[in-house]
Amino acid sequence: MDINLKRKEDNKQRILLGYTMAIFCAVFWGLWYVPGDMVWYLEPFVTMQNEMTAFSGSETTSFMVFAVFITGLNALLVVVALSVWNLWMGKFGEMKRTLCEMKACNKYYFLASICGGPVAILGSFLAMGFIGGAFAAVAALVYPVIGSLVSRSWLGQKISQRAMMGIIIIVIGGMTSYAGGLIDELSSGDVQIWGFVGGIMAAVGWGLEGCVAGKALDVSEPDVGIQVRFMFETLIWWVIAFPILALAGYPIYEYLGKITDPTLIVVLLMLGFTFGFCYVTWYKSFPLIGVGRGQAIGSLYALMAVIFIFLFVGSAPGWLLLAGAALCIIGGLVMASEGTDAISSLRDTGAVE
Amino acid sequence: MMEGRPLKFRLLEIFSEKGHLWNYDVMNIIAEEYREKRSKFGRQTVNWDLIELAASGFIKETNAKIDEEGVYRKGALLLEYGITATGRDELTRLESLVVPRS
Repeated sequence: MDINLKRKEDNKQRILLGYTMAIFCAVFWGLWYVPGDMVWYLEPFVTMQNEMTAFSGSETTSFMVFAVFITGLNALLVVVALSVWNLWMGKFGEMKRTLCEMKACNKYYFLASICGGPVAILGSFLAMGFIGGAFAAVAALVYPVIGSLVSRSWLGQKISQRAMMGIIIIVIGGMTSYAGGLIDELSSGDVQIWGFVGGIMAAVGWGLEGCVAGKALDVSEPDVGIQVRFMFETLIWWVIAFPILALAGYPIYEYLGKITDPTLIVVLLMLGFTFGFCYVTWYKSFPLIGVGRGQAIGSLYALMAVIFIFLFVGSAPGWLLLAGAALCIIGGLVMASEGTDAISSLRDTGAVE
Repeated sequence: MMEGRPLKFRLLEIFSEKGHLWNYDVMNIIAEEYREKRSKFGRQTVNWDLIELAASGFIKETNAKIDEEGVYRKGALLLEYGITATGRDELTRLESLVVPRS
């Protein structure tokens, strides 16, 4: 075979793998909503939420506190799932080496954990609690646009006009899927400013997370990097947030001891597994196709979530979902139609020495 | 300076010191230094790191050939890389940030 042809084919395969990773991310992310939704309705969590409402006197406050509780658990379970993955991949040695490089590498993973954890997730829950689930989903969907713009200006990654157009079409497609719910929520008259603040936090948080992590991913392995990022997030929830809630009078530690029901444990493990692998595939796509493209394809999660919730829970999708799905597919095709040569390298490299 | 540090740090340093290198030569150098990179899977992960470094623009392909003798995997594409100006800047940045060993 002609060497140039083989080279071209090799490059094409790399980019295809990058897109496949991003699609897997969307599937795992969408799947995560199934245990992510279920966990709120299982005992003893229902009783715990009722107790928190009685204690705080506000359903919104108890919702937020319980969201922190679930997110902290989720982060720990992701670390467990990723530890199994990295053990199997034989990457513990690399992890030890990476953990020693705080200034050169880990500070970015720490920042990524703040952006993706307390900022984005808390923002998402604020949007959900003060306005509604559909608004939270739509607000978060803006994140690839922010990610693309920042990755271009800060990381110097190349984003062609065609890629940007694809990103915007996918984002609009995702938003269309939730348009019905969004209109209901915004016209209900019960819209509070904190919901919008939360929406902005979610979009900016996740958008920046990809870019900050992208900086560290340039010089570390994605499998290892993602575990380091979740170790930091776990520390933030367990060492800072949980003690603050305990001091405020919420029996967080007593609640942790009550997680013994086998069904609940299985659902929690599913939560960690789906979120963990959604992130592994998300981070793996960044060095291959760039932050903007990885995030845009990953944002197909919004569509996947509606499909999986329909399959597992039975909430019927309407015509808006189909319109959104069509737009997402068109956006994906616009991006895929870009020649692979254009993304053989994600940034201008300068001369080879 | 980068021996025993994260693999991509060391890879950039190797290219900076030794100039253009084929991927299988890099795998051999790394296998000497990093024990877990001696297996077939370990070598594949090194190759993968090279692909990611090239995608990041820190190294760039300078030559290519088909593996006729099976030095890596028979029929596979063998690539030679060299460090780029961007890669050199990144290595300088890393060198200024890593804590020197006593």
